[in-house]
Amino acid sequence: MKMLPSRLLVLIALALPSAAAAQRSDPVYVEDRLNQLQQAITLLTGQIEQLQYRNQQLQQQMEKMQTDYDFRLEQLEKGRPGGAARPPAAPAVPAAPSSPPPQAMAHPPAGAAAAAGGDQLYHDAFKLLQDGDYAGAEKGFKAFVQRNPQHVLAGNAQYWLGETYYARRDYQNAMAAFAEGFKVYKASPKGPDNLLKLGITLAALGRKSDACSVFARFNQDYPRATDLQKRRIDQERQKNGCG
Amino acid sequence: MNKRFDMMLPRRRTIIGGVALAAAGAAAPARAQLTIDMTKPSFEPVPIAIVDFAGDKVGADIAGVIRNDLQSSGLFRTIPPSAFIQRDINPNAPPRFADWRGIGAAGVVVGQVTQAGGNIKVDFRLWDVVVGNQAAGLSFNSQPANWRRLAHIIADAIYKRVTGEEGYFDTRVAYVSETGPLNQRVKRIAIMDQDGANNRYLTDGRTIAITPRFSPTLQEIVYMAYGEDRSTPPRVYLQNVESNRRELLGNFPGMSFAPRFSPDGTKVAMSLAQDGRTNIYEMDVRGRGLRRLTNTSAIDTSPSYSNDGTQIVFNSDRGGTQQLYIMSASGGAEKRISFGDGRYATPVWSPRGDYIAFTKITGGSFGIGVMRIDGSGERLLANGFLVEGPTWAPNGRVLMYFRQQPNSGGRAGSVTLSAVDITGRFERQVPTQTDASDPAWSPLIPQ
Repeated sequence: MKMLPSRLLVLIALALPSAAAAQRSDPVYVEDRLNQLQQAITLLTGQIEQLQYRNQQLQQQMEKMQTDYDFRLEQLEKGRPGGAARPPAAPAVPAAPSSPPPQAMAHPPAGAAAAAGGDQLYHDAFKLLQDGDYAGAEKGFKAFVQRNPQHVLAGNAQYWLGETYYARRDYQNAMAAFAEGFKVYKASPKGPDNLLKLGITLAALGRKSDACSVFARFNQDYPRATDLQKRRIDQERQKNGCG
Repeated sequence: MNKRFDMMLPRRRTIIGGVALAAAGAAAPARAQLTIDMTKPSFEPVPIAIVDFAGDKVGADIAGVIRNDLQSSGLFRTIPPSAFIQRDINPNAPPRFADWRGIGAAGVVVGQVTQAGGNIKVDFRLWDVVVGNQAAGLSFNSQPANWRRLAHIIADAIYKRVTGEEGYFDTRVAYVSETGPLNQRVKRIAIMDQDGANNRYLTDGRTIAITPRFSPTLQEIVYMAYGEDRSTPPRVYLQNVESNRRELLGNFPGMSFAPRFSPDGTKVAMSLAQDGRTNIYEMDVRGRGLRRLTNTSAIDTSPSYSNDGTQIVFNSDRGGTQQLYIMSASGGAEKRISFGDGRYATPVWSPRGDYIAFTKITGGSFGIGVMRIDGSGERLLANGFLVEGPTWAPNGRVLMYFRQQPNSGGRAGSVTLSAVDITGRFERQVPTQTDASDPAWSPLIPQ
């Protein structure tokens, strides 16, 4: 069974040159080939048009989805945890104001790249914060920042540290923590929220003019902040009668 | 206020005045149920009463033409004169509004005809019954023979006042008149008013003539006709509508077909067949210079210019099936826009520029549809055994096309013209004296 095809192949190979040469000079053969090529081109043209169209559709869908995801992630990250999007009047109701909702854990994915030990400490502290154990969370975040000041999550930990005080209406310590966060981790992903919260805390302490000057520098320091954050700044400026 | 109207027919001034009539009643601007938004998903036709115009017996004929125009649009419901309560209406004074409210009219049209030195003067007023004031009023002078055009112009004014869109009643339709048995069909180019009146033939029927298309001034049409003997291929001709003088538009060895004027009338795009390939060319009407616009080995045909003249939509089977493509009017930048199931043919760009109408063939069935110029938002407005060849009313809100019914044997039967608005809600047959196909709707007749 195996021998036969290879023998045939040899025969065909031997026969081919002369036959092909004869065919090529035949105008009917040439025209036939041209027609075949024409048909192939037509087919390909149609397929390319369809693929281009499909590709364009997919691209549009992707862009739409991307915008949607960005919006949702922003809402998750900026809006809900830490009460950043809540009015400062909220602390009047104890416990409720700054406890991050269970779904709102905005662990930056970069954490995975960091040392496992540091990560664990951060996550434990975050869990405590979620559970409303602000004192425990305070200790955890403080320890994390002290041990890993260069960690990608250090800016986040500093911010949440401030939140543990803020939630307990310890505005003095909250202000110190947020001020430290602004000084050291200005470029952190939590930077804009941290500055916003610093202003809110200053206002809560009755230092309105300081709060206003903090709000005033927000757009300059964070020109790429989200619309939501910018709106929050505008609201706070209005609320505190900043000029 | 005195607007001069140029005439449509050469060397004869037809309509020599269009004067706004001062309001005879209250002055507040009218607005209420005497308006209609045709883009809304559902609406009730506006009930309107058109009183026979006073002063001359042609007044009743004028009112009849206006009624027929408005009713045919699907946007109006004309109230039959037998239902009218007020019979002693004075064309120059406000009607008794209560009498007209009583029969459910939202508007009343009154008018009068007066003789003026061999001409007739026609005034009309549209009264808003709901608000109780005058919504429109105009006066025209013309030769008595032009009374139908005056009626159409008045119907256009009422349509515009009520819908906010330009009217389309003062227009003509060129079409292919079909007579004789199916195997020996005589196909002649005919031209008529939009409502079927004033029908006349532009070709004698000795050879088959098809695809008539208007120049923007309506002075000429282009069409394709077969040669008198079999050795001459079908070719594109240019014919003056008044003198009937016709000339060949370029002497090509192969067949030339599917001609269409550019919006400014200086060019005609058409297909030329050569060596088994059909490409689109543009001919300069005055200098007869020819320029190739497409270059495929497939069949590119049915070119139609965009309303601004910068682009052309056409169909091509370069990708294996007939699809719609858009290109620059000077050629190049070709882009396919149709991607639905089936084949697409005879695209026409809306005079408003917002849609492209087409014939769609899916499986064995035909449809008339529209899509936006990027190919999105495709909608079918009519379908059937055979519907084909859409053409736009000048306001871009109504399409005319032809419809063939199967005969008793299930094969091609009689052919008629139909019209449908672009919501697809209101389809009607357009009256013709013979079987008719391939209509071309003219722009508004220049006044």
